Formats: sequence, structure tokens, C-alpha cells
Amino acid sequence: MKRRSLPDLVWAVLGIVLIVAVWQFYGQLTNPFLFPSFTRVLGQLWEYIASGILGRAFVETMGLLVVGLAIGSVVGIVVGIVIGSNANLSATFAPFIQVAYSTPRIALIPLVMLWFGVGFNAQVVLVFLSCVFEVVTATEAGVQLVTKQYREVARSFRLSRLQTFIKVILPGSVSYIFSGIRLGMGSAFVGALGAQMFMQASGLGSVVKHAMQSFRTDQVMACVITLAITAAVLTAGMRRAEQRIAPWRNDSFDD
Amino acid sequence: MAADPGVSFVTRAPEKQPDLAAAPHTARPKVWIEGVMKSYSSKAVDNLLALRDVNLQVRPGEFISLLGPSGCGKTTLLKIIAGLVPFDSGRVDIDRDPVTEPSSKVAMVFQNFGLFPWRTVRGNVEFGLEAAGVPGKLRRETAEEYINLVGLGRFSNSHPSQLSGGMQQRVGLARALAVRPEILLMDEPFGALDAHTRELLQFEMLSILQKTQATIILVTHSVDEALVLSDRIAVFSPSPGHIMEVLDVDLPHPRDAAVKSLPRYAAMRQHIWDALRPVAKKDDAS
Repeated sequence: MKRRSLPDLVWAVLGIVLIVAVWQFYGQLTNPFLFPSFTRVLGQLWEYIASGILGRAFVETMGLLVVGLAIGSVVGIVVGIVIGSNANLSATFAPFIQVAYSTPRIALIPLVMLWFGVGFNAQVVLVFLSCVFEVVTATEAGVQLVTKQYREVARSFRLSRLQTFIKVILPGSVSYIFSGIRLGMGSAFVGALGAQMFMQASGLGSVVKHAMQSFRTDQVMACVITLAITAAVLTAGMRRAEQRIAPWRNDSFDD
Repeated sequence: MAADPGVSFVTRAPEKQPDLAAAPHTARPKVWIEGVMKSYSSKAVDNLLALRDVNLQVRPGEFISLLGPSGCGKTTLLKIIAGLVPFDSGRVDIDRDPVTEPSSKVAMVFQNFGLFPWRTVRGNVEFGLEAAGVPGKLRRETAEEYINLVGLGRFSNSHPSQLSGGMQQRVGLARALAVRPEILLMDEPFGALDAHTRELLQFEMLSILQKTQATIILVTHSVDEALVLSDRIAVFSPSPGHIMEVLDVDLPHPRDAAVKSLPRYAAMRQHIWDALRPVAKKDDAS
């Protein structure tokens, strides 16, 4: 393991260098308004950072993300536990949740705008809808799996229903819940960006939108790089947290 | 009934008591199983008979194995005794009390260990004591006592995932023994282990269990395992599950690997195989 980690990192760096080199080469050949070179995008990124635009937008987007994801997680965990504990409820709502889970929820933007307006609260609703089904699905699956695995153990040691829930089902499901929040975070990020682009312009969404409307591909790309790095860091952080919470689970819920 | 009547050392249960000095058998059985019927319904079959007229009297302090091919209902019977599975008719009593739910006198060891990966070894062993409401300090001491008994004293703070399969099952055994059960039920406890570990752990478990007074009921499909460990063996035939015969295993105690080279051992082994062979054939044909 240790012996391979260094070469893997070297290969990854080589891959990035290669892609950036091709990007730079092509960008210098072609029309910079359609396809800006890497250095040009980097320059724009620096300009964004130096002017403070990016920092403010970043904070706004993260604020929306955190609030929406927090509400989505709490509601998702509660609903997931309730549904996961009852086979009839699970059978009743499984189709709906499955469909909702698979639907791109930014398609709900027009409805959310109609019902809740375009402000921060309406945007939170969209982010909430973006992530809640991921949390519900993962929590439900975790509760069902843990219940199946340990039902007889808990019963043979004469645990009450409450004891079984507190001592077995809840601790056993924590890692699944975390996987759900990690998946939900990805969708919440999409939702937050969509909300800020198409509802009341704010945060990173508004920066992207503004860049697009002024045909500044270099600005758009600078935003995309920011988003990509942010998403990667958030996901990696959640994975770390999951591994700390459930080090025995090296399988992952989704992949 | 299907057993070869020509083999003279085999006696059926009620007639003869085994002359084990360690276990003076009182007249009253620990577990009384009479006329138990159990059927299952699944998507594929309706009312599949899993157990037909099962009768067995488990003596206090004995080690009895329920032996048979897979699908013969031996695990179902064990879970009925554990109070985990309801049965259709007949009676199952523990010390004259009918079994309707898991009894506080019973603890169980599971085939796949059933350990909680988020708890340490000590936390796992404390589990049954927590449920029983044993206060913290006593709980910890009791857990340590049984962790030491199974030889895992150094691993109290480890998590199950850090232990080998054999060590994990020793945790499973310690967890069950820690509640000081009068009856210990073991559902293929060595089934998930490799052959080498299985053999080592069998003898180790035997010496651990000699330090307890518990009555032990073991489910296994291994003839050798049943012979090495038990005082008596109930041999099952499948579909529907039924006890063909109950054998006294009159091999000397304490047992170690050398017991397998005794002529007596070979003869009993042969006898059981002869009893199971027609059953196995029938099973293949169906």
C-alpha cells in the first residue's frame, strides 16, 4: 500500500500537467473568446480573488448550501428512520422516493419560485429538495440492513424496542447516514448553484451568470475551476469523516 | 429408527444414562421438547413442513448436538428454544416454563458472530449485561472476566474488525457467557471459520465450557464436530425435519485431538454416516 501511494500521486500530477499543457497549447492557437488558455483563466481567477468578488460569492454559496443541507439532513434522517423501521411505510413511499431521487431537482425551480418566491428562503427550499431524498434513501437502507443483521442478536439478549433502537440500529446506521449526507451534499451544491443562477442572483451562481452574459469565457472557466475544487474538497472531507466514524466499513454506499 | 440395529453401543436417549461422573443427571430435563411441529410459508411454497413431531429432552449440564444436513430444521429448532421463532404445536419448556419469548436463562452464539463493529471487544461483551441493567462497574468487571476466560485479555479495547475470525467468535462466546446463562445455544459457531481455525477453536471452546455449568445445545452439520464436543447427538433427517435417533457419545473426557484415533470414535462416526447416507441420497434426488 505504502509503496504504491507515491507513484499514484506522481501519475496523478503527470495527468494534470498533461491536460493543462494541451489546454494551454490549444488555447493559444484558437480564438481566446471561445477557448481561453490556461494562463488566461488563471489570471482571471487571481483577479477574482484579489478583488474579493470570489470570496464574497463563495461565502454566500456556502451559507446557502450549509443551511439547506442541514435542514435536508435532519428531515432526511428522521424520515429515513421512520420509513426504514416500518416495512409498510417503506413499501408505500419507496416508489415516490425513488422517482424523486432520480429526478434532476433543479427542474423544480419554476415551482419553487411560484410557491416561495426567489429570495434566500426559497433558495433554501430548493437546496433542501435537492439533498433530502439522498439522505432519506441512505438512512432507510442503513436502518433496514442493520435491523436485518442484528434483529436476532438484539432479541436473544432481550433488548426492548427502545434499547434496540438506541444501542443497535442508531449506531449501526450512522455510517450509512453519513454516506447519504455526502451524496446529498453533491446534489445540494448543484441546487445551490442553480438557485443562485436562476432565482435571485447571488453567490457563485451570480458570478457565473454575469460572466456568461458578458461572454467572458475566461471568467466562466475561472468559476468552474473554483466550483470543481470546492466540490472535490467537500467530498473528500466527508469521506474522511465517514472513515473516522466507521473505520470498519471500507465499502462505500454508492460506489 | 433408520439407524442400523446391529451396532450395539448405540442406545436411544431415554433408556440409558451416560456414565459421566461430571454430570449426575437428575430426572427433570432442562429443556423439554415434545411433539413440536413447525411449518413455513414462503413465496415459493405454502405451508412447507420444517419440523415434524420433534421430541427431545435436554438434560441439565449436558452438551448435546443437533446434527443433520442443511435444511433439516436443526437451526429452526434451536431458534424455537431461543424463543426467536414461534412454533405451530407441541410444547417447548425450559425448567417447566413454556417458551414464548427469549428467556433470561438462555444466551446464544451466532454463526456469523453477530458482533457490533462499532463497539470494542469489551463493549460487545458488555452488551447483554447492559440490556439486563447490570450497573457500569460490575458490568466492566464481568466483561473483563469473560474476555480473559476466552483468552482475549490483551484485546479488550480492539474492535472486531481488527481480530481474526476465530478471535471474533471467542468474543461471541464471551458475550454469551457473560450473562451467565443456564443454557448456551450455539448455531454453527464454527461455520464461518476456515478448517484449521475451526479445529483449534473446537478444543479450546471445549476447555472453556468445562469451566461453566451451562447446558449446551450446538447446531452443526459436521459429524466430527458433534462427536468431539458432545455428550449426546440428536441426528436429524430433512424434509420434514425430524430426529431420527439420539446417540450417547461415550468417549472419554477431557477430549483432545487424540480422541479421533480411538476405535470407538471411528465406529460411531461410521454409524452416523450410515444413518445419514440414505438421507443425503434422498436429499440429492429431490
